[in-house]
Amino acid sequence: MRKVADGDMTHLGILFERYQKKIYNYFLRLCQRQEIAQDLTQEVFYRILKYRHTYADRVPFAMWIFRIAHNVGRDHFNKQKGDQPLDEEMACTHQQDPLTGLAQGEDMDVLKQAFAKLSVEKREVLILSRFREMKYADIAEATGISVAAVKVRVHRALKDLRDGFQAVSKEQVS
Amino acid sequence: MKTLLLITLLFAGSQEERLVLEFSDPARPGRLLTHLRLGKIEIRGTKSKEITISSEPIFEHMSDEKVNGMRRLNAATFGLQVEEEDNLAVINVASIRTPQHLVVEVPRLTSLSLKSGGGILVTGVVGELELDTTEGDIQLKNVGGSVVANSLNGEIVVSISQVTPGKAMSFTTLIGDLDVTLPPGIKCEVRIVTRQGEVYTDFEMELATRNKNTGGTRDKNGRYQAGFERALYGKVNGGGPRISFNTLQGNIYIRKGK
Amino acid sequence: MKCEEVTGLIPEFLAGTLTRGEMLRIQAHTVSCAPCNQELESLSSTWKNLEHWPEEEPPEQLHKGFYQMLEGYQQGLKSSQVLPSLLDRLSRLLTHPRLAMPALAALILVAGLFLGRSMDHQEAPEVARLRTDLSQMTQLVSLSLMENTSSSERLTGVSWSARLEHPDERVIDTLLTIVGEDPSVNVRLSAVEALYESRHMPRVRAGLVRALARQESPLLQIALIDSLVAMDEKGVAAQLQELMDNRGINPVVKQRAQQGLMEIR
Repeated sequence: MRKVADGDMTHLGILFERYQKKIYNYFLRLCQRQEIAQDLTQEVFYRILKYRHTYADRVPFAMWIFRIAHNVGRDHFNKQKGDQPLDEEMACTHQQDPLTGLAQGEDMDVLKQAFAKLSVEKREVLILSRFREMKYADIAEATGISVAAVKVRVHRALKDLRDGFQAVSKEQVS
Repeated sequence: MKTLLLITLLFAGSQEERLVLEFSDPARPGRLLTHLRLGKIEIRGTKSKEITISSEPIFEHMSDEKVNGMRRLNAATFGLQVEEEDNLAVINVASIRTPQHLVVEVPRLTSLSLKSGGGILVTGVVGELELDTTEGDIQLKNVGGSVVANSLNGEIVVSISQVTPGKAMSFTTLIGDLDVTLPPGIKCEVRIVTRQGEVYTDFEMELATRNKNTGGTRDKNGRYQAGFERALYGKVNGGGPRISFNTLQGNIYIRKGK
Repeated sequence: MKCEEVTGLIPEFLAGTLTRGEMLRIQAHTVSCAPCNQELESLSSTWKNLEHWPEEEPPEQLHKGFYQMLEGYQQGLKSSQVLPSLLDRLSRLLTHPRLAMPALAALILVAGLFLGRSMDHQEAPEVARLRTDLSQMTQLVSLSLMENTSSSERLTGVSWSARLEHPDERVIDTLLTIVGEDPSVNVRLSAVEALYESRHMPRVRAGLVRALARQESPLLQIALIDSLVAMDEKGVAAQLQELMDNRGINPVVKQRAQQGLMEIR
């Protein structure tokens, strides 16, 4: 630990380049706030540096990094709860981004709104399975719940998302 | 300047062997680090520039009829390894099953970081002394510098003849007495916490319980609670860096040295 | 195939990991079962819609921030070069009586000490410059210092921070990190003592309760229980119960936890 060979540090740089976008987008979708996504991404790489010696080769790195991301996310939401009595869903609310909203079409915006209304746990599994295309077994490892629980959660999350989307769409029409 | 010295010694049988080495830069005080899970660590400060390491097993007496008359052969071998780089010497003891009595002679001016499962004894060493033991006592005689010591279940008996000015110290034990002798001229602020024990001292102390009344509140049972400090603070010779004494069950003796 | 079976297979269906046989059976079922068909369709289309959510490029700041952090860490490693000069500058500037300057590397560990409120109302330009330099030494420096200084140095740094009248958030957070992660039991204890001085801050109370959950050292567990009970922090009750129920906990700690529960109620 005391001796950090140069090789080690450049390796970390490579990892950063490879994963920064994935981790950033993970938090961005979880949170829909750029500054928070940035801070949390930074925190993930800080923890990688700090805990580098605890990484055992038997775990695929991708899973390890998402586990760290999961923990960072969880710590963030716990902190939010600790300081003020806010609903956790409120901690990361959807901010209407005027530029991109129009470019992608209003449907996307509605979907994002509905997504933001889901609980953190549901958002997380959807992101990991849909966008990071992680296998359910890996998601289970990263989030610390059983594979069966992951599947149930994905199912429920998607249902809630669909219902939320339809509800908001109806509102908009009327 | 930066040479990695690695010496491995395999102990077998009942021979006592010794490892001898020096710090890379003997003109500068070095640091010794070792964790011994089973056994006691004994450190002796010497005028020599050498570090001498030896170890012998600690046997418990067994009065088993089957043993009667036979002598025990130390069939278990264990490895002792010391690495030295840039004035930091680390002694690694490979997994052992018999507790060892590790004895190390070091130059008088050496800092120590010792962790042991069964007691630590240090005599005649001056430096930053960091000691940690789970079972067993910590005894420091005629040491100097600064001490940070903690023991889970054991006494801490320390006598410090000279203190590095400006450095904080801490003595902590869960179950056991703290018996610390400090130089008479020391300037410090002591912080004392003992939950089930008495405190004795022959130092003149300006005591303060830091009654920072944080404003009382009346809870639902009608009890009035005000925030008072639970620790005792005392300024010695005008005050200075903090020396903490902390024990759950045990007495605290803070003695004025000669 | 029954409806419940179909429902159970939906996650795999979406992930595309169904066997050919399972696929065929689902299709056979949905042909004749309108509700299941509807369910599958709507969920699939929602799933598909997510596809349109684009990935964004992380801002340049993230890139910069990372490399800065890395540099900070390496700076910390060369602490023997950087710190004495910083401390030198510091000691020449600060003549506040409360901080009769201890020349210790560990002070930077409690970097918030100097990053928070300024001591004087008109800040001398040198102080401002020093503050900027120090603020660039991120938490990473603390980390590498923790790895590279002696307990004695860190202990001294922490005990000085205990004398601050109004420690700011950064000091508190650093102290909480020390409680959780410093390798020396004595240093962790002194951080708990230092935090106790700021017990009126909810951040401190919440932080100490969380710390109790993660501590393994009996000495720390007792110190935390003592502090939290003395603060009358009701939030610790759940932890105390857990400690009492957990078999692996030191009996002295359990006893203290039990006592603590009674004192809080």
